[in-house]
Amino acid sequence: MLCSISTGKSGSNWLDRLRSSKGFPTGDNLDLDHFLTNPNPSDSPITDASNSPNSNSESTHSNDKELQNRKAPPPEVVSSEPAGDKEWFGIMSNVLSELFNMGDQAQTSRFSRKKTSRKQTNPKICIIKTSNVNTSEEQKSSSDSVRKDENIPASTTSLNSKEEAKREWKEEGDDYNVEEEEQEEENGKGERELLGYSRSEVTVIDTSCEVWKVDKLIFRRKNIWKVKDKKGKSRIVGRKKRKAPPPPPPPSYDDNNGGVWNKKRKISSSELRSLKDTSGKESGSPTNHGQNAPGEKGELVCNETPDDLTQVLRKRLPRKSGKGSTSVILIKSIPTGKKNGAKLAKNRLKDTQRL
Amino acid sequence: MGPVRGFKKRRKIEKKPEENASASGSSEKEGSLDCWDELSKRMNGLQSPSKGLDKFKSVFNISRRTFNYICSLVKEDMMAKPGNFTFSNGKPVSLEDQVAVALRRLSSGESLVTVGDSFGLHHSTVSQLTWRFVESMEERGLHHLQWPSTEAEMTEIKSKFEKIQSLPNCCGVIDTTHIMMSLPSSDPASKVWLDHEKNHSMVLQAIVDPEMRFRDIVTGWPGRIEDWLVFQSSNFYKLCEKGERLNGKKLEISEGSEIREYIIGDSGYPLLPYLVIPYEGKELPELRAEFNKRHSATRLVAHRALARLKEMWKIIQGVMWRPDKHKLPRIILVCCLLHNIVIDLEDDVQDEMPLSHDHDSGYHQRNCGSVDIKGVHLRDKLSLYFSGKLPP
Repeated sequence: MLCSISTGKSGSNWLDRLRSSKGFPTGDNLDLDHFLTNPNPSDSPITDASNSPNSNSESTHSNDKELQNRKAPPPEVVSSEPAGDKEWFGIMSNVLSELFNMGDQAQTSRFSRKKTSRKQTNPKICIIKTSNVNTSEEQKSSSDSVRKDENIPASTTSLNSKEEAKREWKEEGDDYNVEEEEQEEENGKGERELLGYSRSEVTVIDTSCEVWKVDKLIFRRKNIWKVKDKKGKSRIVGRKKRKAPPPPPPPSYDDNNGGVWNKKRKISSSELRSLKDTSGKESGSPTNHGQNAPGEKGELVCNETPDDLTQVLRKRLPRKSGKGSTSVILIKSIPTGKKNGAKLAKNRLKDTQRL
Repeated sequence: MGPVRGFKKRRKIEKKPEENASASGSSEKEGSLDCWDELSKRMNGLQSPSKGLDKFKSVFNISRRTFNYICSLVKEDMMAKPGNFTFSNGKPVSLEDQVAVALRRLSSGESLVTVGDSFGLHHSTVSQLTWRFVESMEERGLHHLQWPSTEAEMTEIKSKFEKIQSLPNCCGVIDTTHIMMSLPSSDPASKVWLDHEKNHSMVLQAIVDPEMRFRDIVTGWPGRIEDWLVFQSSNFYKLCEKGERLNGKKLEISEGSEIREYIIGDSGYPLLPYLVIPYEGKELPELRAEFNKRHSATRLVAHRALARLKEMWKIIQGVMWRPDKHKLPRIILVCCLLHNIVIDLEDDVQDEMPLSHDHDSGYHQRNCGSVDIKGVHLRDKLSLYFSGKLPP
């Protein structure tokens, strides 16, 4: 703690080296005096003021210095009183000496760079502090530590890591509140009705399906799962199949089951109906799901659109006929164009590259 | 595989009649070298051609006849695409070699490098060949995994189920297993694959017939999704709800009392009019205990099927190292197809396999707990039916 101002004042000495080797900030007499005169370090105006500018200057040179800075205890951060002229002079001379290699202070910092460990002993504290610093370098490093420590709020997270961190929270966190998740999800495009859901893409194979292999999007929040068919670029191979695509089933779920499922699974009937509802509209608002979030049990809301699937099926029939007895007619009636073959071959090429 | 065309070698060791003659029958027999001899020479520790047959089984887990049939299935696809696969000694990789490599990869579960080394191939070639095989198989072999389409077929299934533990009119056993994966924990995207047992896994739901054949599978969902949710999302469920499946002949067990078609499953599933799960609780009355006993004994079929699937196709046994999550379901499907082909061809390797039923070790039974009143009636009817059959 209370580090940088001292480095400006004194050259390196054994005490600095000892301190830095032990992981203590390389403070010096001034700070010790300060301790004596003012036993409460949090009231020190010097330390806070000295920290930010110094880290500004240092950060362009090495990360070690930053780490060292962040090692300082939290109380410093609290204090934000303006520093006196004298202190500022010290800081500035330090900065200048660093910049122009005046040889006045560089030694200490060099030593400290070498000796202090790169690991942070207490990253949680450091974050709060570094978030005050506006250097881009600082921000980056702070976001790094955010990734390491998931308890830290997202405020300092860089754009790159935000997406990742978001998902991590969702899977991990029973503690994270809905607001946070929703805020993050807003970055995702389109899926407005699925705020706060983590999104993953899966390939599902169901041999009872017309199209037995479908890419689906899974939206998950804790134990709530929502499923959408991924439209557009899904690689769907039509299965040779005997039956015409099934019509959308009637939403007769409750009648059939007497609502017993309902009660047990704590899912509202509207949501249940959405399981069978193939009209293509999205089921249930996120807020509803939030309220209904079951403890251990989950729900899986499928939003199937058989019409789309059938279209895809027609478009991308497999190029060869199989042995399926009942499917032969369908297959034969479709010309196995070059286009399909090429497309498939292309897919294969792509696939074979990464098994 | 252009250059390889016409270069194919046939083996002479075994000349069993083949179900599908397209591969062996039409192929040129000019090849003086037996492919298996070649392969076995190439592969470590398999130098003796005289014992080739047994070794073959031990290496690929299937008989030569099944191997030939699989070659015939994928021949067109594997040979259609140009590929300059050669062994490290410069020899081109024949169809049989390709299939052998892919089967070895799937059955041994060894790494690409290990499989590659044993064949003298680069690991990327193993990867490409395996994937080419998987793609071909999932199209060509899919007819080996279908819900019975004819009444005769269904009748046979029912009667075989009845022979096991007298369950009347039963059409299948449903069960779920987990295919475990090793995913980087640092990658947030892998969190969705983290299941209740803290493994990364993918679900495989299978409906099995009395001969351990898979009749319907659903796979690809993350392992955390409950069994009943996977079932509920399946098309099998939708078809059943619509009355388009399990809607066949009812069985009259007594006057005015009929039993419809149904499947059975464990208590991870809901009790439905067409899905019967065991009675819950301990110290059940004798009727129910008896029902549970028979129910559980019949369900063994599915346990064994899944255990054998993993045992034979080890790529999905144990923990898979960072698989492509979009490819894994397709690999699982092909393993199921191969499993069924072994049964369909009555390959005697299946008799040599130990009958294990531990396919999902470490996973605890989870309870769905939902009950449909029609399911309750059906289950009660069944347990009553057994009471009539009980010895006096």
